[in-house]
Amino acid sequence: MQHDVIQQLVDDLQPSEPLTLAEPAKAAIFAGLMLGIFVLLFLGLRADFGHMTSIMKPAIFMIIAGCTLAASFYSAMPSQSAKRAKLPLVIFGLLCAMYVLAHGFTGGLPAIQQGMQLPYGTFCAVTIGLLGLLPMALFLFWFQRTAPLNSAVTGTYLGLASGALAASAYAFHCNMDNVFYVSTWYVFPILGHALIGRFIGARILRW
Amino acid sequence: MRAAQTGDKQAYSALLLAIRPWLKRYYARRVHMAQVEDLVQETLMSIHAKRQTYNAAYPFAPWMAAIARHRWIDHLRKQSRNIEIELFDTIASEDVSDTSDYFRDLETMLQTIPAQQAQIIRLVKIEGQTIEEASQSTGHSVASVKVMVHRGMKRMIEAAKQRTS
Repeated sequence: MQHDVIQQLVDDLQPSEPLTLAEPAKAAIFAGLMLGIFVLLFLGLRADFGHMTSIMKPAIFMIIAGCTLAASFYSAMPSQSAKRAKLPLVIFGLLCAMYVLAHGFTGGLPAIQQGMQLPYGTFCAVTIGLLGLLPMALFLFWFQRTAPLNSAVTGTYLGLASGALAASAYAFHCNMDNVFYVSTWYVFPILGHALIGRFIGARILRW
Repeated sequence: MRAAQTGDKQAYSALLLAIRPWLKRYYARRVHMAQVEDLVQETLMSIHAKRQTYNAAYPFAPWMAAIARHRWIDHLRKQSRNIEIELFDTIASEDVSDTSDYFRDLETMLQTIPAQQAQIIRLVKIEGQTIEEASQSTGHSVASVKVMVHRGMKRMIEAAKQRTS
């Protein structure tokens, strides 16, 4: 019977290209472009676009998205996952620290109060949350071809990547650069996506 | 595996045949003997389904070992959710004078499982042949006969449960 199985598998063999990081990267670029176009058409580019911070904010979220996408890819490839999945996360941490250092915890209480602007902040968080659904769906669909050894972990990384990509696109519109604001209203929807990714990933990335 | 990814069936067949004994040894140390064959088969199918995740720049053995380990953990997870039913060689039953209903029900149940499994169960459980005898008369290996009996009985129990519920 074992030999029957082997024979069936051999009969079923078709040439298959090994998966590479370039494929999910293409999906991410496509999703990023779609989100960018949506933001520019329906929300508009921020009025002061062009100065350093206005470029740095989306760029950092874009790099975070790339790093977490790479982490999810390596976590979904048996035998090469453990070490390589950690490096993008280290870069992720460094970038977060860089953003905080670049903007600094200056301004005291008024800065924190500015960071807690509830109505506009809620709009930012909800928009990022909704925008992130497109890349999340694309990534989950593509990653079904992979073989994650821990589907919940891979799902979490994918959620982080989706949220960061959405935050990056949204950052072209939002002119709030305050560290407290960004670490609240941008980071929460990204973490929300990570939780959703963990939940869905654990179910649909199983093999 | 590199050759298999290009569609070389001969190389692929040689590879699967070569890794089968390794998988058997791997699972024999970790699970009950009766489950080894199932796990080996599942792992071979996973290797087939996920062969595009193998990167030729890396050694093959760790990739295969990672898949085997994943299958083993998945098996343990499933086992912790299901209650194991031990299958006895002899099934105690009431002494009934009219056995026609009994055999009719049995035939109905046997129709719910694949023909090969039904044939083996008939030989072993109804005609009373030993596993070795059934293996000789059907041409399957002893291990295959054991697996088929195990799977067939399991399916029949599930089918019976569905009917009664």
